[in-house]
Amino acid sequence: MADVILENIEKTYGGHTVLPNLNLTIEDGEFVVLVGPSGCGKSTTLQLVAGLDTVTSGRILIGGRDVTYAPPKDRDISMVFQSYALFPHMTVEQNIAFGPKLRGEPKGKIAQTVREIAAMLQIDGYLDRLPKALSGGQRQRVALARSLVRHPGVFLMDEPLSNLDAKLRIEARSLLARMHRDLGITTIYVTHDQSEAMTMGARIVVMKDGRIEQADPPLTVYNHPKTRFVAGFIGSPAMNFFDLVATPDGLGDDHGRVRLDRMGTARGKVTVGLRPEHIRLLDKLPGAESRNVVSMTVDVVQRLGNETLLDVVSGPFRAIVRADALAQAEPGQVRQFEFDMNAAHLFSTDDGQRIEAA
Amino acid sequence: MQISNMLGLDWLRQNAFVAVFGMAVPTIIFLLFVGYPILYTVYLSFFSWNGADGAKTFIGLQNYTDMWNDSYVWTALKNNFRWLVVTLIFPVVAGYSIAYVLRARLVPFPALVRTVIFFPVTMSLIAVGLMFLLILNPMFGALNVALESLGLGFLIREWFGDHRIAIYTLAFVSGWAFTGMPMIFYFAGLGDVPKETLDAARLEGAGHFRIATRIALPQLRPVTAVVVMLTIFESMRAFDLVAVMTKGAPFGSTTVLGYQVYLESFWNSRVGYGAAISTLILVLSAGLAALVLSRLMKGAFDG
Amino acid sequence: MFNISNGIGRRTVFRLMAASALCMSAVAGSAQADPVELRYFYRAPWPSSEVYANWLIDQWNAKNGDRIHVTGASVDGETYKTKQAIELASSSPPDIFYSWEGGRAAEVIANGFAADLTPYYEQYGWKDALVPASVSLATFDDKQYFLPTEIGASVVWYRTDIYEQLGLSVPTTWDELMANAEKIKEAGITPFNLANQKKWPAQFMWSAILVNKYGLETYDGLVNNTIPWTDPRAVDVTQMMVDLAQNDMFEDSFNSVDLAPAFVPWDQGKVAMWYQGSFNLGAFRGESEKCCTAPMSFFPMPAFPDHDPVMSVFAEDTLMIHAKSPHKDEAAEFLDWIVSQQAMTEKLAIDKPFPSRIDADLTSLSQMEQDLGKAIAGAGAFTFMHVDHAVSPAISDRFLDAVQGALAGAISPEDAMKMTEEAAIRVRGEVLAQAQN
Repeated sequence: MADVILENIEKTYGGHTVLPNLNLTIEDGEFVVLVGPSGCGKSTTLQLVAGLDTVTSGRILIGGRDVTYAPPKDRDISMVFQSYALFPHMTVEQNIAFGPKLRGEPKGKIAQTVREIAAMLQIDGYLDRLPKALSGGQRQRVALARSLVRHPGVFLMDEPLSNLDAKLRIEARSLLARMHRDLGITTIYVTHDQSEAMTMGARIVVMKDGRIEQADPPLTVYNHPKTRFVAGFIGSPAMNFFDLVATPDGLGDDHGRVRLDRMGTARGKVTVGLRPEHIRLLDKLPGAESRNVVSMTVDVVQRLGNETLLDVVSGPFRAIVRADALAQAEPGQVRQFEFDMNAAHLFSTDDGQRIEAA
Repeated sequence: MQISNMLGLDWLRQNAFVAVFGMAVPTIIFLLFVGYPILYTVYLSFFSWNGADGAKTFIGLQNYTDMWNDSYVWTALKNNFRWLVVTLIFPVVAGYSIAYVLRARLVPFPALVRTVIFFPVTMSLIAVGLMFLLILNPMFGALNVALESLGLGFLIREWFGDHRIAIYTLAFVSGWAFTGMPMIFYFAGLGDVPKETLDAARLEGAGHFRIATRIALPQLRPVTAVVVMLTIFESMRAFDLVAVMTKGAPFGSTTVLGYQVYLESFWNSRVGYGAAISTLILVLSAGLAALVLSRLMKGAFDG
Repeated sequence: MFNISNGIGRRTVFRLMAASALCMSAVAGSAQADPVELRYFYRAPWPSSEVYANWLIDQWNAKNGDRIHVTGASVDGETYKTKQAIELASSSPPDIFYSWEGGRAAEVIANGFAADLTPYYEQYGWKDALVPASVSLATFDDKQYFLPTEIGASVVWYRTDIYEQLGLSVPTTWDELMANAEKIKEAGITPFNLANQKKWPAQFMWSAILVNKYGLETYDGLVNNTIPWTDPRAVDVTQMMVDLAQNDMFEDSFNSVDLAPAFVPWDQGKVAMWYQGSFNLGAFRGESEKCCTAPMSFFPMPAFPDHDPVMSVFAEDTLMIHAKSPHKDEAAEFLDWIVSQQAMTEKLAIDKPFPSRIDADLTSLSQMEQDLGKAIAGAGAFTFMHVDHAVSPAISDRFLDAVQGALAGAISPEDAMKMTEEAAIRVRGEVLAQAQN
């Protein structure tokens, strides 16, 4: 059990800066997900914590101990890799027992631990098989078993589910969640999949270009994204954005396509963000008094069974609207949409930072 | 039409260039320059022929029974195996170690190191032999001087004069020249070993030695099979270094089968006998290759 | 399918090429009468040998090229043997070729490749013009088969400065030689160089001791298969060599030292004597204008009581005319040019001693070399070749291995000679079988 503190971490490769200055504190027992598009520095961060790579400057503390330059084995960590990194020439048992053997643990104890963990992960039937004789899900569990066997203070997972098919992924998610609940090991989990991040993490760290955009619990990130990037990255389908101009009269564009109520005291160029579920398809023509209604052309209709997604356009604006399963809409139709301004987010168009409306 | 299509004749007709230059010509060249000489060598081994006049005398297995009773052939055979053992250990271990060190970026200027280590492979063995004759020279050779200055003078031996070690001297020189070959193979192979398996082992606390031997090497079985195969052929056809460096001296203790073939065929004018020894080399090489194929290669290319 | 128009294009090109080739040969044919073409296959072990051979051919062609045109092809020493076997047996063999003396020459003659040169020896008077020892080397069954163009001798080379410094005089008997060697050893200098790594050098001393102790007829008996190698006299000489080795008369690690590096301690004055062939004179001369880098001279291997010393004279370069050559007379004419006074004198300037002609002008050489040249010319017809020249390689290889083994102390002198005899028995048996066929 240990907390992890990253202080002023800088990492450069040659002349290329991957992490300019990263600061992050992870509490003991916390499940933190690092999420971001590829190249955002999340995997590099994990490599640095693991000790597979060394920082250019900064400090890493695990369990209060400065491990910035300590070799991986002395960091009280273990890691699950995207490819599982099982040793292909060793049986499942040998894979799991590799670390304990190396650390000189007594044979009897190793055998017992391996059996326990294998039973817990339901791979005790395959102990003498080679990895190539296992299914993807089984391999994944062997990889988990191998990293669990040393009872690490910190658990590092580098996209552990991305090689599984969709069905197995859901099973594995709940397995990992259960494991964390039962064992309470500090976990740093890297993924590029925002929905995985939302469901897995007690806290989500959204990264972009080596910087942390936001580090908050999932719902906070979802409901109060700090930046336009976070707002667009978290949630599926992604949030819709409208670059508008704010005046004392309200929000609008140059051509009068969009007219919205004003939000707060912001003036000048702003970006309004609305999730697909906060734009409502109107069945009939609105009355004259209705506000925040925008006329848009239906471009594509995606019927998912439980709901319908509409791609709509109006001049430079594009949006995805979440509608009922039986919504009456056909491509080419011009329809009216009501924007729920209570749920709208406001960002500065210039730097993407959130503008509080209140 | 149907049948010719099934036989691929239409394809051949449409791709005459490929058919002629891609298949027929290589096959003919192979048969002419590899197949025929091998068969002719085997054929010659049943004859007594001095290589000069046209008179070949069929003598059945006489050459082979002579070979059985020829202490030089036995010495040569043993030496080929000593050679094989040395070259299976020294250059392969050295080549793999260097390849690993280069891949793990444990030395500066890896590209330069790689080039330097590979360079001897491109050198003529004649040049290598002449160079080592100077280096191992007992009067002013660099090796003995280096050993002396390192306080290791007690290690100095008669590298060529002592019949107990001369063959190993030759094998080591051969290994020196050969090290670049396994190195380049392993270097390429290590590039294909998933880095994550090495990282995983590092996380578990494995050092470089253990990663190299226990994690990376077992994943390189196909490469090892190829390297072992090459080493076998290299040691079975050993000749150049013996011809340049010792000519079999001291007193025949450094002869190898390849050198015996040369001696018997061209110096002693016993072409048929030389062909019989060649056939022995062929059988040995093929046998060892089959062994490698069945043991080391088996399953090496499975997932 | 091949493109048809392409096919025609190619065929046309071929026709044009063939036509133009015909035209050119017709032009060439009409310009002059065809000279006799001679192919000369020679051995060029040193760079200077190549230069000299080219000079010989160019001079000849400039003078006689319209009548007899010579084309040369050279092979270095190491691979000559391989190439020779293939060339001689080919359907268009060279007219003139290098053959070696002794056992190898005998094989070439036995295989019917060598033309009998006796008539040419008469016609051109070579018998009187050439050093007698070299003529006797060229003689097999009373017929001459090769023309010696370069000859050499093995002698004891010695450092005159060391001899002077230690107050030694040139020995005339074996015992005096041994006494000198002891004194040299006491002075901390190596008495003899052996440089036996490649195993052939030790036989020089071996055969010289045998001939001088037991007589030429004993040696001839050994190499002509009338005396077995296990004869006590052969064993005794081997034992003497072993005794010398064990008595530290040779340099340290003599079985590890190759010939070329052995010149270093020689030039440094760390070795006093060296029984070796005169073909080393080029190396002794080194970069100097004249021989030699080190102050040195020579004396013949001293004899034992009751025996006259015999000098080993050998034919270093030997030329044969192929039995199947259609132009033997022209070839002989070219050979006569090679042993002419002019060519032999030029050989000294370009290549190395010694010319096979008695009356060759040696004045361009150092005094020591001139003395040796005279000694060779005056050595008479009685001479001997070292073992690897005298007998077939199948026997001599075993002999060389055996002596090297004995010197290393790995086998006894008796076993060494037994090893040689076993190889000799096998070869003689094979010779007999061939004769019956």
